[in-house]
Amino acid sequence: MQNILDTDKNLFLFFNKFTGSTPVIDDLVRLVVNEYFIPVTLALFIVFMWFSKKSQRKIVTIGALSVGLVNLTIAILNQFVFRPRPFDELSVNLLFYKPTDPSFPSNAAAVAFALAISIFIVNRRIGLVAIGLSAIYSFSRFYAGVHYPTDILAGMILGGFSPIIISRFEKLINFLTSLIQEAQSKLRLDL
Amino acid sequence: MEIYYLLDYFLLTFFASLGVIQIALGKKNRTKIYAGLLITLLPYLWFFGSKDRNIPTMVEGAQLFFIFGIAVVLAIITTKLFNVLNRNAKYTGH
Repeated sequence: MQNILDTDKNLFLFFNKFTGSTPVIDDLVRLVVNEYFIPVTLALFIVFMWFSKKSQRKIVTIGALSVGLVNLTIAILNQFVFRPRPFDELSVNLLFYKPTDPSFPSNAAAVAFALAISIFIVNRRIGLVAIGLSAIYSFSRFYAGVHYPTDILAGMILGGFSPIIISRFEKLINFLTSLIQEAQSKLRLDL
Repeated sequence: MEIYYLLDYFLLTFFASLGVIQIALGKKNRTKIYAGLLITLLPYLWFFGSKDRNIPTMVEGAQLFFIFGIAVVLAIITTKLFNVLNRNAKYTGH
């Protein structure tokens, strides 16, 4: 276990040397590392899918349940595992503010991948773009100095598995999706 | 200060959702798709160009999710209103 943690720290320190040294990459990372750019874009993909094809509407249910499951899993995990952030232990080049929540697993990577894989399950083409954006988002957190590589990896795995588990409950998904559609019709919000 | 931050986020998500809905409903109507793209991209440029967004706030993920939901509902209502006005204008010949 100690070996893995040491390798993780060494890997982090190796890549962190480059942080802050290439203005173009630093600016791009600053643009996408926050809680807005990529999460909002992924959510907009879901809005697009809801309105473009009726058969894709289950994305809202799968996405919401997957994010819920991943958040619950992380909340439980954080009761047992508390890993300090890299900047709490090491001298780090930082491109982002200092978050106060535990480093492991990366919440941002988990939520982004939960949404991206949910999208992929429903629409492969948009899903691939979403996975690409989530990978960029996850990498930006690591590059910005707020996560170790294994935090990101664990977040990606948790986020990736969540929609796969959720999508097994097809009846529940169809039922909840039809409830949302009904609510939309009753509120006369059909377009 | 949080309230201004939330207001900015609401404006971003409202206009971007409005644009995305136009693109989704545009199908083969190029004007609608291009207009939708413009309505989606402009709020991004404004949001990320006007202030540094990499600062800590007290805003939780759940609050952002809630605001996004409200923004989408209001974008749907706005689209409906535009559709009704458009139909009336065509009907009355204006």
